[in-house]
Amino acid sequence: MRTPLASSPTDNPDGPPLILDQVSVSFNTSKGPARAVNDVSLTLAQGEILGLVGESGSGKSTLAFTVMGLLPDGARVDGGQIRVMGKDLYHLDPEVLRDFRWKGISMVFQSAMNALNPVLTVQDHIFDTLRSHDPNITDEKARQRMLELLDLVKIDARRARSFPHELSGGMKQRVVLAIAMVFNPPVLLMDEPTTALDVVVQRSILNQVREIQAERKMAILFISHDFSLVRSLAHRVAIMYAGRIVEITASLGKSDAHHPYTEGLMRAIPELSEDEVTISGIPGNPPDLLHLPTGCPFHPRCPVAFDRCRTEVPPMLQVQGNLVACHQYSRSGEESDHGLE
Amino acid sequence: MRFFLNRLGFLLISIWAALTVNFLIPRMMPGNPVDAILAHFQSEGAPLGPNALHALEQQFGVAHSSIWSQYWGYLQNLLHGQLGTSITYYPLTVTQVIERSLPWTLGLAGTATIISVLLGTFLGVYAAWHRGTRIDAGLTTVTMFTSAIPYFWIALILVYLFGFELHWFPQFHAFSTLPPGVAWWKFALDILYHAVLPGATIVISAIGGWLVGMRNNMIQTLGEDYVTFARARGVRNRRLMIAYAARNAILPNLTGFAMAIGFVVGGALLTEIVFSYPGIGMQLLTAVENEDYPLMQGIFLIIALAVLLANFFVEMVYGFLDPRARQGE
Ligand SMILES: Nc1ncnc2c1ncn2[C@@H]1O[C@H](COP(=O)(O)OP(=O)(O)OP(=O)(O)O)[C@@H](O)[C@H]1O
Ligand code: SF4
Ligand SMILES: [Mg+2]
Repeated sequence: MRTPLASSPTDNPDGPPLILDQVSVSFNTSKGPARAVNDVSLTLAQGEILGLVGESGSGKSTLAFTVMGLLPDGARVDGGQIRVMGKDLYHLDPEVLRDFRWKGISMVFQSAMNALNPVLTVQDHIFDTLRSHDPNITDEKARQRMLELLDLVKIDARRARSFPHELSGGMKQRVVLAIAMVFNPPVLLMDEPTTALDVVVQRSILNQVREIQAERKMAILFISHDFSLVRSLAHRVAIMYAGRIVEITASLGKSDAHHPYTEGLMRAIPELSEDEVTISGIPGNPPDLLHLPTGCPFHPRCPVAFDRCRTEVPPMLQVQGNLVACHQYSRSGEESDHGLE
Repeated sequence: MRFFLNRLGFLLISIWAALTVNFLIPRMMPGNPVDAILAHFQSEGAPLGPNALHALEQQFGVAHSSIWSQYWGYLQNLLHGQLGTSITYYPLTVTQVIERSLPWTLGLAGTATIISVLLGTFLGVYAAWHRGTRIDAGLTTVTMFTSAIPYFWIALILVYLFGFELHWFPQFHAFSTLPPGVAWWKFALDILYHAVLPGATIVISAIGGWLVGMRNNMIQTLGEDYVTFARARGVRNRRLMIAYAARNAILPNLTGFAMAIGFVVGGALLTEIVFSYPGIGMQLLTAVENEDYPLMQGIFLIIALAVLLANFFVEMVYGFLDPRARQGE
C-alpha cells in the first residue's frame, strides 16, 4: 500500500529531497532475520523538518543508516526504494557515493559523544571532511571554512585545537553539527541529537538547529523518542512502532492523534501545567522483532483491537489531514471489503 | 613538555628505587654471601687477594662501616660503572662481562622482538581490515598455530631442519672463528648468518600474539562510532584505516610493547641456551650455576634498568599518540 503523500520515486532532482518507498530492512541474527524497518514510506519536502518518533528499538536509527547507505555488516535492505535528491544511493558507483554523501546528505549521529576520533582535534575533523571531498583545498580556504562553521554553531574559534576529551557534551554535539554542515547539504538526518544532554544545553542546541534551518532551508529528518521535544521543532511528525510508520501527523496538537499508539504516547507526556504530574504509559512491551505479531503489530497492546487487527496489516489512510495505519478508520468499509472477498 | 618532565622525574625515581632494592637485597639475605664466595674460590684452588676480598665485603655489606656509608659507596661505584668482580670470570669485572654479552642480546633478541612487534601489528591491521576474507582466516589460523607451539619446540624443529638436516644455517654460536685480518663486512655477514635461526625462532613464537592482539583491537575500533562517522563523511579508506582505526587500536598494545622490549634483556634465556648464544641470558645461567652473586646482581640491575627505560620510551610514544595521556596528571 502506497502512502498517498509519497510521490512515486523518480530521478527528478527537483522533486522532494528525500523519498522512501516501501523500504524494509532486516538484521541477520543467530535466531533468524529480525525485521527492524518494515515497509516504510516517507517523503521529506524541501525545507521541511519531519520528526520521527518511536520507542527505543523501534528502528529509527536503522532507518537513518539505511538512508545513508551505512548499514552495518549483517543488515540487509529487503526491498523498497530510496531517493536522495533524485539519486538512488544503492546503485551509485562507490566513489561517486563516497563523494555524494555529506554533499547531498549528511547525518548527526545518535552518539555524538563517540562520533569524534579521540586522537584528532576539532580542526583535524573538519579538515579531514573538507579534504576527503576536495583534496586540493588550500589550508587558508579550509581554515576559513572552519571558522565559518564554528561561528555557525557558536563555538569559540580557539576550540579548533581542542581534542574531544577537552570538550563538554554540548560542545561535542555542536562540533558534530558543524561537521554535518560542512557542505551545506540539502538533506540532514539528525538521530537523537540531544538525548545525552541536560535540558538547558538541549534547548540551546535545538534553537541552534532552528536558526540554521531557517537560514539554510535544508530538509531535516529529526529523530527522537521525545514526542514533546519533536513537536516544538517539526512541521510534521511520523510515529514509528516496531519498524512501521503508524501515523504521520500534519497537525501537532495534543488532540490530533488518531492512532491508538500515538494517543498512548501523548498520554505519556507529563502534564506540567496541571497541579499534579500525570504520566500514563502504554501497558505491555514492544514486540520481539523475530516474532512480529500478525496483522497490526500493535494489536497485542491496543485497547481497541478487534478481529481484523490480528490478521490484516492496516493500510495508511488519510484521516483529517493525518496519515494513519489503523483499521478503526476503515471500519466503515469493512463490510464492503468482506463483500469483495 | 610538562608531560615529558613529569615522566622523566618518575623514571629517575624508579631507577633510584631499583638501585636501592638492589643494594638492600644481599644485605637482607640470610648467611653471608662473602663466605659462600670465598668457599667457592677455595674449592677451585684460587684464593682471593686482599684487595678483591675487601671489594667483596664492601659489595655485600659485610664491611665494618655504617650502612649509610656503604650505601654512599655503592652509589658512587655505580656512577663509575663499577658493579664488582665476577667470580666465574675472575679477574674480569661484572661490568666487563655485561659489556661483552649485552650487545649480542640486544642485537639478536632486540631486533627479533622489534621485527615481531612491527610485522605482527602491521599484519593484524591488514587482517582486521580484510576481516572475514581468506587472507584473514589464513593469517589468523597460521599464527594461532605458531603461538600455540611451545618455544622450545619451534627452536628444536628449526635447528633440526635448517641446521642439522639441510645445513642452510649454523646450529650454534653467534659467529665462527674466522682467520685474523678478515674484512669487517665478512665478519658482519657471518654474524647475521648466525643470527637467522635464533632470530627466526623468536619472531615465529612471538608474532602470533601481536597479530591476533592487534587484529582484535582493530576490529573493535572499526566498530566505533567515530569510524562510521568518518566513513559517512567520505574519509578515504587509507586515512580511515591508519588515522582513525589503527592509531586508536594500537594504544592498548603499547604497554605490552614496553614489557616485551624491557624483557628482551632477560627474556632471551631459552634462545641463548638452545643456540649457545653468548648473550646476557647465557651469562645469567652461568652466574646462577656458579653462585656468582656479583654477576647475578649486575644482570638483575641491567634487566631492571631495561624494563624502566623501555617503559619510559613507550610512555613518550603513548603521549605522542594519545592526547588524553599527554594531558592527564
Ligand atoms: N547491528 C545489529 N544487529 C542486530 N540487530 C540490531 C542491530 N542494530 C539494531 N538492531 C535491532 O534493530 C532494532 C532497531 O534498532 P534501532 O537502533 O534502529 O532502534 P532505535 O529506534 O534507533 O532505538 P533507540 O531509540 O534506542 O536508538 C532493535 O530491535 C535492535 O535490537
Ligand atoms: S489496527 Fe487495530 S490493533 Fe492496530 S492500532 Fe488500529 S485498532 Fe489497534
Ligand atoms: Mg537509535
